[in-house]
Amino acid sequence: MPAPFEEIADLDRLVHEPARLSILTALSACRNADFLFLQRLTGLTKGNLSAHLSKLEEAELVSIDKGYAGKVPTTQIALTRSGRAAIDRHWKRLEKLRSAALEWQPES
Amino acid sequence: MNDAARLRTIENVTANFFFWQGLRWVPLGIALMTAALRPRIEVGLLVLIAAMFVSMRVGKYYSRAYGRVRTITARTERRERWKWSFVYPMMMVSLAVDLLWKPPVVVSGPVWAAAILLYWNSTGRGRLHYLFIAAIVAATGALPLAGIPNGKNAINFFFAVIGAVYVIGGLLDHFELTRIMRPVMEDGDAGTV
Repeated sequence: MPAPFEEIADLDRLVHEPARLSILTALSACRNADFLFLQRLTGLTKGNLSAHLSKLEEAELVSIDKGYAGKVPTTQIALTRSGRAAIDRHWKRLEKLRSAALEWQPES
Repeated sequence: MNDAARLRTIENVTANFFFWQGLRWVPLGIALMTAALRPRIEVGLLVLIAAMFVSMRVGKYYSRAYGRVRTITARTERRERWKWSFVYPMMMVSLAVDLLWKPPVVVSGPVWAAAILLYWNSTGRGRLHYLFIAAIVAATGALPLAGIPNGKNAINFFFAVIGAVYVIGGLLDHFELTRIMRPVMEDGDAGTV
């Protein structure tokens, strides 16, 4: 049986990257959020957040809707069904790894 | 703050964003204090209407400055059910006891303090000031024993304290939100993806 630390290498890097994990975690707690909210919550620059969202959209983990609220342009972001499944799966895996790491004894 | 704690905060703030917009509650607190200190129905109504108007404007400020979130209704169903079927009725019953039977202590003190703790627990925790606020509200209930307002004044004093709780809690919520949600690095919003 591999040590839990070796299994960390198998984590989905698209989801596990810290900025993207923050974005996905926020989106998992709501139906959708706008660009400004995600930018302020994650502390990312506009360019960085755009780049991460593009990657997540390419992987079909998030959907991005551009529109207008009155005359103000808005960008709404939501998790897709597969995105919600991916973040749920990821958190379960992290929890499992955490438990395994707590129980793990190095072989002497 | 470590990564896990940071992610928990992100989840809690997103799921309960409305409740973290503390400045919304400040006008309502001021209205409550005014009504408690000047208990005339017409003054109270006027101040309450003004407070609701200001609170709505503050909500618009939060949308402009911090963005918008649409919550998942299913996540709040349990809280709503408990709130309407248990917490609010208990608060009303305690208030009725205080107004009708005038016990030597303000029964609403500990009951409303428990409601504050439930509010804190169900809206994403964090904001530790609510623990101190709940303790102060609970202690307010015992003040008539020391002769510091008693009779009808005890209830007015209690509502003035609740009003102050709205103001202080709201301001501290806002400070916590501004600490968590960092200033935008670049100007504007949207159209960038």
